[in-house]
Amino acid sequence: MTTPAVVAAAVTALSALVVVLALAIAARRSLRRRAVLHRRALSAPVRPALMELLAGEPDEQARAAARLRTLDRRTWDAVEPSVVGLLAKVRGEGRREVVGVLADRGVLARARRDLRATSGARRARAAELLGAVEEQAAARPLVRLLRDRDPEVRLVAARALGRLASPHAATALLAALERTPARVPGPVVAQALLRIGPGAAGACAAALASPSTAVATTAVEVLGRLGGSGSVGPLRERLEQDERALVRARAATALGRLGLPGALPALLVAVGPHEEPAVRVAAARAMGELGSTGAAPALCALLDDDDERVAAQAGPALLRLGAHGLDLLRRADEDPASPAAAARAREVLAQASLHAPVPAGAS
Amino acid sequence: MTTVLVADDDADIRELVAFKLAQAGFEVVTAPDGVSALETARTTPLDLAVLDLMMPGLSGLDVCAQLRREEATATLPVIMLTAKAQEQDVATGFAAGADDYVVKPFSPRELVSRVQAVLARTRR
Repeated sequence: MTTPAVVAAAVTALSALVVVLALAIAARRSLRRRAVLHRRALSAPVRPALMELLAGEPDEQARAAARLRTLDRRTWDAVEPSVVGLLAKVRGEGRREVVGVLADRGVLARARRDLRATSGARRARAAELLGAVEEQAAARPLVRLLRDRDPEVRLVAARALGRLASPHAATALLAALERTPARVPGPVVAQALLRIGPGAAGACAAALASPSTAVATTAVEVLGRLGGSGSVGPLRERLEQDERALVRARAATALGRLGLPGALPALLVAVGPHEEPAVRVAAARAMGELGSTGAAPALCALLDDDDERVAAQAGPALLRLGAHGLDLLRRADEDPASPAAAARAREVLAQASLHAPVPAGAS
Repeated sequence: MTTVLVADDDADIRELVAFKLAQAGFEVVTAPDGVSALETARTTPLDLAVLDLMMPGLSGLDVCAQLRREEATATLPVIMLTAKAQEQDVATGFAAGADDYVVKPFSPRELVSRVQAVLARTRR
């Protein structure tokens, strides 16, 4: 065979392959579209009952629940994704009715079995559903899934444990942060701990001194967001004693968020020149959030700080102190002894005037 | 009859909110995204809009801000419906001109009460 003939044969074969592939893709899309339309057609007559179950009056809900319990298998399969999907988005009486229907149709029993399925997607779906229905008995297997080989399953299990709001899961969630390579991302663990609420505070306080920076910073972050005066002491201790600048900076931010005056002495030390810039920046910002006038002299001095990042925090922090802070900024603006501080004060005052409410009648 | 626009890219939520509002006696028009929500608000006389915050293309915040900029819809009451519950998210919603903020998971019954309360307040 000559070279041009070989090339022509190759081009023909390649073209045929492209056509076959295109046809296969089109056929698959068409089948999928038909399946969606089929499911929609099957579920359409039942959707009013689903809406009544979730949002109807009590008698309508009871009627709708009875209808959904006795649906044939194919119709239920078509409507089940909507039932499960809406479960996480709705609260109130209707939600309890949905959980009852899911239990009676065997969906929850199947989910419990699927927590051990070989398919990661099935394990994740099961964890999601059991979290959404807040099934407390699922806490132990969900904690086990925090060690799952599939990262998606670990993530869903952490979220589901947050929904269960079981304080017993808090320690396991924090431990999931340091398990390499099978760790769960920090923001997901933090969100789950916050959903658990004050019940997670004990586990977080115990984890503050963890040698793992991820665990310590997450515990600090969660304690700052949970609130509670009991967290000021342990967070102050981290700010004063932790060897890691990142943990100290997060502790300063958390203390500012808590907004309790007991944090001020530690923050005043943390803005000192001996500290790392990241910690000083966080401490200066936190002093503004505390809103304590006791922070005013230190913040005024910081307006003239050599580190631009620190000095930039001092003006907005003074502004947050209210009338006293505003007065100090005006005085700094007029003080010729420190042109840099005056310029920073002027900038903050100008920005504040832009956001001030317009007096009635002004045009 | 009082007409309410419900804009949400989640068809299940759209249908559920529309069902509950219709049951409470409102006339409901729906939109699956921000662009059609804006188009509907420009062409249909509305008394209130319930907007999902996270919609593809034009978010609920964008729609709300645009409604406030246009003379015909500047005073249309808006309720944001969203899964974003952080303090900053709520503040951003109000800054865009929303009259109220309902966080998912939500109670359909409570949403209707909020709609009625916002209408009563804005009609005063």
